[in-house]
Amino acid sequence: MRRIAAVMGMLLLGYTTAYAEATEYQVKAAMLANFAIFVDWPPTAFSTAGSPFVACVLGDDPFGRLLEHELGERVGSRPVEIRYLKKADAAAECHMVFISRSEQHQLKPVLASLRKTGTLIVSDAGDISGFCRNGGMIGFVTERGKVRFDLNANAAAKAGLKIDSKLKRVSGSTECGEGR
Amino acid sequence: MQAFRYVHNWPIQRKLLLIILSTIVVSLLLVMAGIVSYELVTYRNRLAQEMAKVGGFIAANSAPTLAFDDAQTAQEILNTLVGSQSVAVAALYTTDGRIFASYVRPGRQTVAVPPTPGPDGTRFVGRTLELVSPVQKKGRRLGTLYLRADRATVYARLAGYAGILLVVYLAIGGGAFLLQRLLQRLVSEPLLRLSRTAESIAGGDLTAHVPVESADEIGQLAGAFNHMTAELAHSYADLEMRVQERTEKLTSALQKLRTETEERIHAVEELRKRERLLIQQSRLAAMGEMLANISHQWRQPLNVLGLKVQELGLTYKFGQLSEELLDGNVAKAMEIIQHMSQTINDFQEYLTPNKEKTRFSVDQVIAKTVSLIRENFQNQNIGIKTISADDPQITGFPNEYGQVLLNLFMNSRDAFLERGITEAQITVRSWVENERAVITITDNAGGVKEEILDKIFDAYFTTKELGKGTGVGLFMSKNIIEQNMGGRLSVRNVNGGAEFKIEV
Repeated sequence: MRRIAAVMGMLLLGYTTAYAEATEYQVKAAMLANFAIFVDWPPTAFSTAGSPFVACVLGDDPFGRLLEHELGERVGSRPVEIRYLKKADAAAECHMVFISRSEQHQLKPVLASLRKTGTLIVSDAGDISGFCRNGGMIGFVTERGKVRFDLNANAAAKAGLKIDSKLKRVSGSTECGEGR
Repeated sequence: MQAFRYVHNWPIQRKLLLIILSTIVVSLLLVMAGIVSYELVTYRNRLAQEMAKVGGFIAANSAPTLAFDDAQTAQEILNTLVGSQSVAVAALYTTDGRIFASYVRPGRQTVAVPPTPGPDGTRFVGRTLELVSPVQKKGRRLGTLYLRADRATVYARLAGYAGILLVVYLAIGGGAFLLQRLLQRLVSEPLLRLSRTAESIAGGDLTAHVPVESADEIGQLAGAFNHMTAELAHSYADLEMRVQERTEKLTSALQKLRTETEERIHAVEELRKRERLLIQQSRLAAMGEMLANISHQWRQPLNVLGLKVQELGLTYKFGQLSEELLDGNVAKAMEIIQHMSQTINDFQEYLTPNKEKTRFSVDQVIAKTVSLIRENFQNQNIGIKTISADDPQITGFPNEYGQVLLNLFMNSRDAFLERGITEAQITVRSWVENERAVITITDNAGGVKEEILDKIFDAYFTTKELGKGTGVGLFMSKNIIEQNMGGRLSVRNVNGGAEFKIEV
């Protein structure tokens, strides 16, 4: 009950306080939800027209109920399914994977196993440029207390994902992990 | 109506200019009126469409800025509206109704951005259009876009059209001058030339000519005009020529008539004079002939008379003059003198023209005539033979008839003498043929030359030596037989001689 009350309190806080004043993961959860709508997946990523959009969190869950709240019930016409994973092997059906900071020590093998068609890989791991170099697509960065993100447009394109060009405009960089 | 009457007296050139200019001005005004009314009627729809388009574009572009809280980019996007003349106010609101970014057209800063967007949709408020549109992605609402447009665009466009119209009118004003010069050259001048030519033709100059410079109506008119003038000149000349011709013909006909009349009068006078002369000449000739014949007749009796007178003288000398001899010689002398006197009477009677037609015997006239000339002809060795049959009778003038015969005999004798014919012979035949008394007098003097055969009866025609013939004889003979007695005198050549034929 205390936990639920705390979440409710945070939710209330989120809705009543300014956006910028929301908690870090509240912002990141909202951004993940927005990535889902500004990225188009190839039709082959879904088995049927009614197949759910599967969002996965690999490692320790920093969001709690926030992600569920931000994604809502549907992305476009598809129902939303959120999976919390411990191992990268279980991410085969994920359309979007958020790699938690708990996995940053083994980022390279995790990314190697996740690199497959149709999966958007997002993380707020400490070494974002390393993350991008190894196939990470969107990395959260915090500049002067404000959460922003960098894009690895090339890696996303290789995975068959189509990122809305307008999204690139609000990103910090579209060449994350390249040319460095 | 007053204005129309005023324009009515304008020169054609100015009328044409008026028509052209008014056509241009009116059509331009109509076009402008059409454009303006179209603008005014459709601007709402067009404005709504334009706003929807602009709204859609801004919403799509500003969606990620709302999603990822990038107010700076959102402001940049709204600032691009400065290129749009329609949008006066624009604003983006977050889902919780906060103003995220806003734009007010430069120069319209007094206009306030509404604190809340109001319900979604398009609506007209007074003269402005308000568009409230959701900003969303994949069915997820990210915020709200507010746009407000006014009529500035329409007014700006109408001002633009007015400017174009003004420029065009100024251009027309300049073009009118050039157009006037062109019209003057193309229309007025040819017409004026035509008019001037018409005036000079009316003044009587039919040689006036209009140069034809074009194939248009004026050119055709000029052509027709020239043709008409030429026709007129031609007709006029033709008419004058005909009048002159007629006058000349009439004059010459009159002259000819006068001359002919004079000639005829003259000819008639001449003929009368000639006839009188002829009659006189023929009388003189006949008297000459008679005198010659009388002298021939008298020669022998005169000789005998001389002998008888000498015999009286000689017998007296020799004493042989008896009373018997004296009586006998005196009686004989008296007889001879009686005979000679008779001869004169005969000739006198012969020469006296008959006053009335009488019935007479042709043979008797032949015998009488021959007796008058026999002695004379015998001296010249010319024989006369008479062959008579039927004893033809004629009603007419016996003395004239006899004169004709005498004339013909003399003619033959002249021919004999002239040609030196020996054994000269004249044969006279008479008979009745078809109840007509016919006489032929034939000689053997060689005949008449064929080429003059039809001329020998003409007056004054003669073949004789100068001084011998008068050319009157045969002409008078023909006159007597044909005019006085209703007969016919003809000539032909037969067996080395001429044959004259009288039919009465």
